[in-house]
Amino acid sequence: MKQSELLRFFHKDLFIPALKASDKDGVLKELAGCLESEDKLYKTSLVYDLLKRREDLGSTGIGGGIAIPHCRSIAVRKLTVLCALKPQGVDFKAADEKPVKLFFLVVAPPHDINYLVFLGKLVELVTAKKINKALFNINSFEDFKNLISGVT
Amino acid sequence: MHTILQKLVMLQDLDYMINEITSKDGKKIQKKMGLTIKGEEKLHEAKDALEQSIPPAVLSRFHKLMKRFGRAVAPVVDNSCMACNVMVPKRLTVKTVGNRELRTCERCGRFLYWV
Repeated sequence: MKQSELLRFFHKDLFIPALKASDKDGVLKELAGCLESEDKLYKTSLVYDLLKRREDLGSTGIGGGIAIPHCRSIAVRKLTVLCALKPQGVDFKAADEKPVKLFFLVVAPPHDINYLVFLGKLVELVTAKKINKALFNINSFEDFKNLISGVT
Repeated sequence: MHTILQKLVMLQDLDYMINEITSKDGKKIQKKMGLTIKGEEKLHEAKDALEQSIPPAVLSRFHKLMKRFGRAVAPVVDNSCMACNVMVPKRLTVKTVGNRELRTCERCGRFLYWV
C-alpha cells in the first residue's frame, strides 16, 4: 500500500472536529459510539470493550499528541478509520506523557489484509516532520484531506 | 442484542486480539508504532471469565466451530452469512431482529451476527 492510498480510508462522516469527552475512557466510548451512529458497526460496547482491553496492555498514545486506538472486530464490515480532534488535549497515558489532541481510531474485521499495513503507513504519515505540526491546526475534514493530499 | 451472542462475539474478538498481539507481524507493527505491550495474561483472564459466563452447551459448540473453521461467529452482511455465503431468511434482514436471538447458519452452523 502506498502512502497516497491512505486517504481513501478516511471519510467526511468519520471526522470529529471537537470531541466532547474529557478523559481516556470517555474518548474511547465516544469514538466507538460515532462508528455506530454512522452505521459502521453494530453495538458500540463490543468495540469499546476491545479498545479498553488493548489500552490496559499499554497506551496507544504514540507521543507528540497523537493516539491510534486500534483493534480487529467482526462488528465492522470493512477497515474503518475515524479521525477526531480534542484541541484541549486528553491525558491518554501516552508514551511521552503529553496530552493527546489527535486521535485515529482504526477498526478492521479479522481477516482484513490491509489492517497492519495501514497502521504502519498511518504512523509513518502522522509522524513525518513536514505534516506533524500542521495536523494540529486542521479544523475540518477538508483541511485534513488537503494536508494529506499535499504530502502523499 | 442477545446477551450470549454478544459474549460469543467478544470471545472470538478477544481470541483474535491474543493471536495478533503475540504474532510476529503484530509485534512488528507495535514496535513500529513505538508501543509497548505488557500483561497479555490479562486477556487470557478476561477470556476465561467470559467463557465461564456462557452456557456449557453453547461454549462447547463455539469451540468445535473454532477448531473446525477458525471462526465460530460469522457476520451477516447484505442478507448473507459471510463465512459460507448462504442467504439468511428474509424475515431476518433487519439487524436488530436478527441479533435478538442466538441463531446459527443453516448451512455452516456458525453463530450469526448481523452487522
